[in-house]
Amino acid sequence: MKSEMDKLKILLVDDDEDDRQFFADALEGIELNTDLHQLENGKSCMEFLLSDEKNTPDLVFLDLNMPIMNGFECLEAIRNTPHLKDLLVAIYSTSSAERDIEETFEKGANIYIKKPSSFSELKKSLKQVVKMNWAYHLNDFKKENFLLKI
Amino acid sequence: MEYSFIVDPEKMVSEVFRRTMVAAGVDFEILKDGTIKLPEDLSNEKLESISKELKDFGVKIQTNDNRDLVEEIKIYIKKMVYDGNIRNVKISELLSNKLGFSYPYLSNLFSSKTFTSIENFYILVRIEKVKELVLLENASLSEIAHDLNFSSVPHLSNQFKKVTGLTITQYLKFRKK
Repeated sequence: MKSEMDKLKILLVDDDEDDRQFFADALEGIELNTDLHQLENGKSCMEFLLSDEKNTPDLVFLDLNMPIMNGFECLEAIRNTPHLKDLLVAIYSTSSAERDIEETFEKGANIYIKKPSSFSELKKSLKQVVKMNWAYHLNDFKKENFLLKI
Repeated sequence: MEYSFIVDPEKMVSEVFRRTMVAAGVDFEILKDGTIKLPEDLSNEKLESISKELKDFGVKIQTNDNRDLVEEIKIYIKKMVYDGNIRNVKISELLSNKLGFSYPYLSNLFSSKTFTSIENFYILVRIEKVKELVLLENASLSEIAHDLNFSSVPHLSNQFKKVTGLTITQYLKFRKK
C-alpha cells in the first residue's frame, strides 16, 4: 500500500463550488492515488502557496474567470515566485477562446484543458493529465500540444 | 356642442398597417381579399418587430405557414437532452440560434400554447432522462448531474423530488419492486 507521501498532490483553484465538486468526484472516479486540495480564487491560491513551501503541489488546475484574483494574474504570480516557477500548471476553463489559450501559453502555463461537456471526458482528461509523462512533455514542448485534446 | 366621431375601422387598420410598414421599410401589397402580402425574404427578426408594433393596435399577424414552432422547440430540446450535449449550454441561446426567432418570442409562444414554460419543459425532459439513467445503474449521480447540466447533485435531487414527488432512492425502490 502506498503511503501518504506517495500521493500525487493536486491543487484545484476554481470559484465555482459545483464545478469543484464535479472535479473531485471525477478524480475519485479514476482511482489514482491523489490528494486534492481546493481553493476558490487566485488570491487564496497564492496565500496558500506562499505560506509554506511544503504546500507546493505536484500539479495545479487553474480556472481563468475568478473574482478577486483571476487565473491569468495567479499564473503570473506563480511564475514570478522563484520556488514556484517550474510548478506544473494546467489551465482548466470553460473558455475555448483563442486569445485565452494564447495568453496562458505566453504566461507559462503547461497545458490547457477546456472543461469537457461530459463527465466521462472529464475523467479521461484528468487521467491523461495526471498520468502524463511531464518530463518528456516538457523536454519536447510544442505549442500545438498545449491545448489538450481528448 | 357635442361631437361624435365617425370611424371607418377598415381604413383605420390599413392606415396603421401602412404606417408601420413604411416605418419598418418593408414593401407590402394589399390583395383583393384583404390579405396582405409581405416580401418572401422578410427575416424572422423583421417579422417579429412588425408584429410587436402591430400588437399595440390590436392587430395580429396570421401566417399560412405550417411551421409548428412549439413542436420544433419540443423536438429540439428532446434531441439535445437525449444526444447528451447540454453541459454548459444556454437553452435560450441554442433555441434562438436554431429556430431563428428571439428567445422572448419563442418563450411567449410556447407558454401561450402549452400552458407551461420552455424552462419547465426542459426540466421535465431532463428528469425523464435521469429516470432512465438511474435505472441503468452504470452512472453515478455526479456523472448524471454533470452531463444533464444540473449545477450539482443536490440540485438534481431537488428537481427530481419536485417533479416526481419522490426522492431518487424512493423512485428506484418503487421501480424495482
